[in-house]
Amino acid sequence: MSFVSVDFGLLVPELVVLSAAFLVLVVDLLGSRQRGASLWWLTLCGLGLALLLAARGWNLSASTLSGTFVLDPFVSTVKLVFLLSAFLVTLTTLDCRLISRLSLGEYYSLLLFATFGFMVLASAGDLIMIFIGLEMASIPCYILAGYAFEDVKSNEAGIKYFLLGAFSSAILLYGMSFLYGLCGSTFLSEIGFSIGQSGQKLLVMGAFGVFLAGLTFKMTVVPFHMWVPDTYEGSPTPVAAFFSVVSKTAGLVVLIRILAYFKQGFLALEVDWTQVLSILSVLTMVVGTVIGVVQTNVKRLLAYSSIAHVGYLLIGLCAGTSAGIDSIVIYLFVYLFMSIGAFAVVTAVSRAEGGEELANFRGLNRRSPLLAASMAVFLISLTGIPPLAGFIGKFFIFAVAIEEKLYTLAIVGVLTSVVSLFYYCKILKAMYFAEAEDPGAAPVAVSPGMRVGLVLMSFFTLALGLYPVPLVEMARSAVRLWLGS
Amino acid sequence: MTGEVMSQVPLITVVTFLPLLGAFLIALTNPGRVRFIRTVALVTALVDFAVCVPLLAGFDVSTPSVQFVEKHAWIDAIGSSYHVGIDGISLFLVILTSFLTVLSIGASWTSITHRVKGFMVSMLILETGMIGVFVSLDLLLFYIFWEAMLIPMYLIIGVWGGPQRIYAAVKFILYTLAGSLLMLVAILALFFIHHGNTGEYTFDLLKLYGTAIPGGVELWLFLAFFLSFAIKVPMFPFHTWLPDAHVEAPTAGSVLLAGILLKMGTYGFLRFCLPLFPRVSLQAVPAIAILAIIGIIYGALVALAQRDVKKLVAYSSVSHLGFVMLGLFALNTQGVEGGILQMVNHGISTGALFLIVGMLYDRRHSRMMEDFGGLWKRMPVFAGFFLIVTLSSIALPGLNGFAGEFLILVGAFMKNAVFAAAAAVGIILSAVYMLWMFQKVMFGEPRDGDGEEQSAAQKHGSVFFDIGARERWILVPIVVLIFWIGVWPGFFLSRMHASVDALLETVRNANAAPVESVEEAASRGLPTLTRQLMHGGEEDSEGASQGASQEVASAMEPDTQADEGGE
Repeated sequence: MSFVSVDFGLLVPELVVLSAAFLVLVVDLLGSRQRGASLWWLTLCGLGLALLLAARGWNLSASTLSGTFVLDPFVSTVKLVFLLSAFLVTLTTLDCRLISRLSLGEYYSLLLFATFGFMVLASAGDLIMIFIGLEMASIPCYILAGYAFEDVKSNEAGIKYFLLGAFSSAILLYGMSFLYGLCGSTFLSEIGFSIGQSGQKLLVMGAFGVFLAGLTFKMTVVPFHMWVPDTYEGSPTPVAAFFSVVSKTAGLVVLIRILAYFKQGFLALEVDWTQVLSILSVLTMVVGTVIGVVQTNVKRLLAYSSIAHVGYLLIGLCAGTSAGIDSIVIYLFVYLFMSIGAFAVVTAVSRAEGGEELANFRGLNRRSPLLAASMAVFLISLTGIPPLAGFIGKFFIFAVAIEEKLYTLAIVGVLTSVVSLFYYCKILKAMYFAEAEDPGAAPVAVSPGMRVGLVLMSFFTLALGLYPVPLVEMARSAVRLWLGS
Repeated sequence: MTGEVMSQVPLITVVTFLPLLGAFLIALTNPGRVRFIRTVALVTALVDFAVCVPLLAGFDVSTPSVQFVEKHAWIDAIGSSYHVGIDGISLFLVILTSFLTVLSIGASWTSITHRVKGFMVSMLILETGMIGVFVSLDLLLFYIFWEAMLIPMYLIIGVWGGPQRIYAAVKFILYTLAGSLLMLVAILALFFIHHGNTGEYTFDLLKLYGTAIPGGVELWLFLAFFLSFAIKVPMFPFHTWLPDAHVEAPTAGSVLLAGILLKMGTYGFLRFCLPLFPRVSLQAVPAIAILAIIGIIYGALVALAQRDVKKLVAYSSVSHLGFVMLGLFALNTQGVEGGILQMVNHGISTGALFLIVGMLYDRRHSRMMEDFGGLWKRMPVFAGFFLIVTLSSIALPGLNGFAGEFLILVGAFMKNAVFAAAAAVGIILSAVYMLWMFQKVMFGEPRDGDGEEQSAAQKHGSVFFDIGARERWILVPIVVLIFWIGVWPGFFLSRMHASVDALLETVRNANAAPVESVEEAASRGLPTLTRQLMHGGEEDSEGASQGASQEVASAMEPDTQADEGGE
């Protein structure tokens, strides 16, 4: 009883990421002046190694640390999303100089720490672990948002994110305390069992409602999205890319897992969250799309687009079936490539142009066909036009909605997709149809890492659209193995 | 021996994806090598057209079934496969596509001078998309081609179009996407209904034909498909994107828009709406016929009011496509065959008109009728071609337009004499606006422009120098086809016949089934009828509740379900 037995074998990917983070810090301290590239390589290798290890133990189902750390194929799949995102963000970061006099050492290690936190969060088997994971991920994220400290906007982003994030964490904790008070346990499985027997329907609803509010803040669901546009706009662009995928995925995954654990309890109490989630989903899709239409800053526009995409993901959750979760997993992988890709292009452009307004994208096709073409691929994919991967993602989401007779959600999703095309078109228009203000402007320089990253992401965006079979099979078997066990 | 070899070549795949290969080759080329890029594009399009010859030669006239079928597994998990083939309905549309692509690339030889590489890549990708739409026998595959072709067209209008090109391009893509995404929802609904009926997940069109759809749902699904296709055709209230897109697109874009993209809408009605939703389709006949007639007359009247030649041709498309719709929804052999023939005719005649307008624009850099005049003397060869094409568009007997419109009117007359009479007014109006346009452009005093055209004027003696060999070679095949279809439509009709009859049979059977049972019941007396109707009703509701209970059962299965809050 005194010593908790720890199966470190299950924690290997996390430990690799953590040690890479510390190693980066140490090398940054000890290394020479020209250490940017070596830190970059170190981060990439660490993430790559963790990715391989996580993929190898993919079909493992086990728990350790007395059940507070759970590993199953679904969680492993989500960790692949995190690691892949961090890998691609790092790949497209080298030499993008967040700000001229800033060292990137802390940046890489903070990115790794945040990834570590999110991985722990995804594996959490009890409330305490959820909170610890969340905070381990959030604190590096707050710092990352304000990393470019000489830039006023970045400061603003960091402070806003920190204040509202802390506030939402407090709300989350408040909800957790109620759940603990009701059930006398912090373990998700035990809570799920005992809320069914508590008979305190209103209290359970209230407690879970508060908990949900805290989570939806992290997921950037409307009406808890107010911080997103400012934070994304002010943060260094690669950081915004990381947020746009990883932080909202993490929130969504926690929600999926908790709903799975609590399902029996809610069934017993006859509490149904589908209505609430549907309303949130519709609000998120509509607000994210409609407000996106009037944006002129590309980063802000992508921030609103990422809000709208959370709305689509929620449709899969509203369906409440394993097929719904399949579709979410498929969507996450597809979304990861196109979203990080789009932000990476913004990184390159804003570095060359000093800004990310629509005007900075004018005539991009002339100045860098690679950047313009890959941006076009990502944007068309984000709209959901075949044969690109975004279509496959939306296809499975809408298919699940129709299968479960959620016609309103499907139709709202379809219509907001049409509207979203309008704002993605604004970027396409600027890149292809408009001439640059300064026709003699030099071609946009693209670092080799960025080049490789863009080609990779464009390739996957196209390949997964044409032949999604491996992804679909993986998503299905992951969810089946998880829920079957 | 050769026949055996031919049957082993996946002809349809070659026809569909050869342009994509050409596009890939061009994409790897240095953008400065303009001549090489143009040549590769033209050769690809020509070879693709040549591959259509064995399609036509090997086509079996006697069978209504789909030919040259290829089927390979694609996304097994959801029952979607790479399933392609052609029948009498799609055969000529595929050939028309590859034919018009060759002409369009020829027509943009000199008029497209900047970003040639991007243009040719877009054209060839567009060709793959268009042919793919006509050959797909899998709904998901169809949908992918249907949408994939939006992007190249968007770029062609937006990058190489006229002054209002950006507005036109965005309007085009938003309109089309709105329609097609609703169709996606309907496709998915159909997919799950079929699964509910048979337990099989499939997007295979041939299996989805005859899916029993619950009454109320069928209407909604029909409407979703209808909206998507009606926007594409375009039918009367959904046509507002067309004038903008056609006028702003470069010549090649206009030719393909009018020649092929509009046909995808009418083809969609024929391939999907009619056989998938036969009952609702039959009920919708009066409404669609009235919209078609409004389109015919409205399009013609608006065309009468135009001073811009290109706009006139664009509005004439609204009118002509109204004829096609009227023919298709006459739902008899004459009407449908006339409709298909008229699709091909319209592709040829209106394609030719856009090419001719493009040739005029290349010379005068204007499309206003008042800027032209007296061309009859200056450009005698051109005048001859223009006259033939104009007459073909008016449906002069002996030319292609007559064969199609005559059959359509016969079909419409058999359905409803009033419809036919109203539509005939459209023919008269079309003669008025076409001849009026021809007169203004070709006769009277020539008006040479000034300014930028003067250099050309000095070189050739006039702005309006006659067409050269390249332009002549673009127009000659069109004129040959105009006469061929006009004189010998039987060649084309005989190849459609089996498929069209089979299609109409499907529609008729689906509609006849319940009626027959009522008649039988009536012959046995009223009480039996009532009982049978009630029994039928019970059966339906039982079926529905069974389906529902199955769903509930599967939803309750713990192993395959997520454990969310509320089932």
